[in-house]
Amino acid sequence: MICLGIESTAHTFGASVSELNSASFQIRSDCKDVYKAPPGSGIHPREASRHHEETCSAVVSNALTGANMSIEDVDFIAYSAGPGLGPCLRVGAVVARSLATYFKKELVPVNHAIGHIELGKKLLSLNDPLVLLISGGHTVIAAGNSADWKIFGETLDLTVGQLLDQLGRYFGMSSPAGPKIEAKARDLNGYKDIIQQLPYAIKGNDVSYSGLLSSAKDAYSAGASQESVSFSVQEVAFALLIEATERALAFTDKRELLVTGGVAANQRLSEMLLEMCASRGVKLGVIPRQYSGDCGAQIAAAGFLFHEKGMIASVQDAFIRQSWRIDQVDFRRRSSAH
Amino acid sequence: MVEANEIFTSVEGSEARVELCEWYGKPAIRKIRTRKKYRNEVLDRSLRARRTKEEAEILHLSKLAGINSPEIYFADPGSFEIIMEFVQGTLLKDLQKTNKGSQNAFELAGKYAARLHKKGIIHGDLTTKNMLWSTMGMIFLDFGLSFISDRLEDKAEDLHLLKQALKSTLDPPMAQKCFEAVLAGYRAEMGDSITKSVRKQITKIELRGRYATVD
Repeated sequence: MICLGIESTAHTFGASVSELNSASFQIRSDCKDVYKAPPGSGIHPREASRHHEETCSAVVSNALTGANMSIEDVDFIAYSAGPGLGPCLRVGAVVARSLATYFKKELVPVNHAIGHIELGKKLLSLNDPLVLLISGGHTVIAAGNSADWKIFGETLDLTVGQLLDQLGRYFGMSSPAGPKIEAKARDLNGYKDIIQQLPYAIKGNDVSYSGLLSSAKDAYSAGASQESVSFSVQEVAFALLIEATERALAFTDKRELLVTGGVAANQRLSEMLLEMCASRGVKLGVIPRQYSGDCGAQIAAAGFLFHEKGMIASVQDAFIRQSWRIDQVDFRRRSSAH
Repeated sequence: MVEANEIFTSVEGSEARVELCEWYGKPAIRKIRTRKKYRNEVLDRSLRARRTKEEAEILHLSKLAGINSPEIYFADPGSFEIIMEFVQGTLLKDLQKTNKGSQNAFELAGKYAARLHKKGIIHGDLTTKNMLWSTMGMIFLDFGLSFISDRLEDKAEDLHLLKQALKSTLDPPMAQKCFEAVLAGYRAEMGDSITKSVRKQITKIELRGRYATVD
């Protein structure tokens, strides 16, 4: 079975042709074009959606050519229906609806977050992992079987991706700032860390980052170097995440941990996670860097699951939903998932 | 009566190692906050020392608030350890699996939470694995994340966590029923008006979750 997956949740317009036969999942192509915000500012939804409109046809054709296929070979089209930025989601949905109507293909709206999870599970061969999903849009610890996700902990304010991004913008970097913050943190160069000045806010299994961001900005304004602030923020932010994750592992008795989403590409976080998982004898799976960010392959991966569950929408019912938590995905309510 | 050492000798929790030991002839629990290698060492030491000290203090205060919790025999923030009474029973997390009619236990959990809150104690990790149902009745465990606060937000956060724990282990109608029992117990102890405010605040907290919708 062959799926064309279309992603347009935020800054990325992506398309992928992927194949699922018996149990084997293969990404035939994965193409994307990413909207770049000017340095010091974040994603402007209207500008990002304009970017998607301009690049969508090239990205989709590249995905088909890259897979050496024509649209006729595709069995169904999956698109990211949410959660995400409305104007951006709409572009992906329009592309998917148009292709589905014109070429008479089944249309499957999927949840973006489940896309991250399904792709990770398939690429890393994990069966029943606890999931740490960390990106610009998500910071959530979840577990469940494919049909029923439960949230064990999450951020009460900023996501870890936003924390790093907003700190980076304060430094005058361009988004996504995560990799730049990571590089700064690695070059501590004898600067003193400011860890003791930062709040460590964990409430049960939930974390809070807004106070951390304010304190980090204050410390930078008061003269601390970008290196020392970046290092300290990473140490505190990741320690919070791992503490909450470890608690969720203890609570659920899961033996596998899947880490996915854009921030999963951070090397320091991986080191820390490996340390924690080794001490508990838990198998750690970190999504390969290439697929950690938003991409069409994740939507195709989720597409197979949603398709199998019969979540096929007619064109007039093909919705987008800006707010769509993974614990609200309900496979018992066909097509009217909104 | 089961001998203590038939049950376990040592458990690696998420935050501390819990071992069975003896304290002047009585079976006791030694809780040692172990080094988290993933965590920056300075941060790690200060967190472990602070939490050990606060846990011992709040364990003591919790009894004054009128709930059952383990007796403390010894506490030392320098070595990050607390030695406390060994209590036995069934965790509420396991009780809810076998006996779905454990409404009394949930009501009592709510009552205990209210007694703590009345004295300004926030448990901080109020889940069904930190509640033990024993022959003595309900016993609250693990005050490792507890703190003192009179803020409505913190009270609500405490109960919100319990609600999350129920929702993550039970099917939705059952979780709802159990949480209603918790709230009934809470109301009985705390009174209508504060319970109402706490409830409202819980809804606010839930809406803070990413992509939450009003329903």
